[in-house]
Amino acid sequence: MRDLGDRTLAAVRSRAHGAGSDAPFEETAWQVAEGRDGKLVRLRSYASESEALEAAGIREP
Amino acid sequence: MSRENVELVGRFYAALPDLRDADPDEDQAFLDRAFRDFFDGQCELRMPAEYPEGEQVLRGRDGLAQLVAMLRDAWGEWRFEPERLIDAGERVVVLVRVVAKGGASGVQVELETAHVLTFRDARVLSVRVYRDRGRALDAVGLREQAVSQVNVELVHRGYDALARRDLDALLALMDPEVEIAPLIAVALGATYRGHDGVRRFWSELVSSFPDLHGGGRRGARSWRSHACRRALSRPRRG
Repeated sequence: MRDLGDRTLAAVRSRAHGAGSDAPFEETAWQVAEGRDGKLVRLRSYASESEALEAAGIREP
Repeated sequence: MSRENVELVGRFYAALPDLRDADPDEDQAFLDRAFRDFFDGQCELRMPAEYPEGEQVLRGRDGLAQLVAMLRDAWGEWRFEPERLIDAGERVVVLVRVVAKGGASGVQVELETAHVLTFRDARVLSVRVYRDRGRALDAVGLREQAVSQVNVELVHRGYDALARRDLDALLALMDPEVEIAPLIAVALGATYRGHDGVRRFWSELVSSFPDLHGGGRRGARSWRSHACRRALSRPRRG
């Protein structure tokens, strides 16, 4: 998890099987969470780290 | 000196018993130990105006004895769970979760509070209790830094709740107006809003993927320690 001040960025990998098909599912999402007054107010997922950082206003080389 | 103060505070909160487990006959002995090991004789405890008793200042050993008596009168259980100790130079901020149970009502209460402590000669000289942690952090000029720490902790607790599949615990961490946009929803331009929206998303998720599980990406800790500093050293746009 990365501390971005009022937001955090976490890479979260999820695994599962479909309820009907039993097909395997695996996904890595980059989640930007925003907190205010000790509560989560926004949680948004992105397909890549760069996209998530861009949304969080962080530019990396 | 600040490191010694933080250690003193850590030892003090570790020594605090749950009111439920502490024998009332031992209260005086506890106060003796507290003033021998931790408190300055002139120690002052300031309670916030938001508390039912209103703002009040309790001074010295008699004041602390009065507080213990007040707690015993109103509560069957009362304990402090220190969540984070923050070194604020001459002061120490403790983010404290109060876990209590009404003596007569049996109602369970959990409060997120903060204590700001000052010191004299390696003893606690004052404790100011804040119902609002943000105001406590403002008082010591650390709001921005500490808010960041609070948010990291908040998100960790959120993922813990997810791992336990504890929807109620997850909702307790979320603002009533929360907005969540999981990856699939982002692709569709959709957003779930409010606690009801989170419940709906949850229901759809577990019905579609009953064995869903997950976690942080492997190696996230070492990745974080380098990348985090790098990101924080760069200005945020906008």
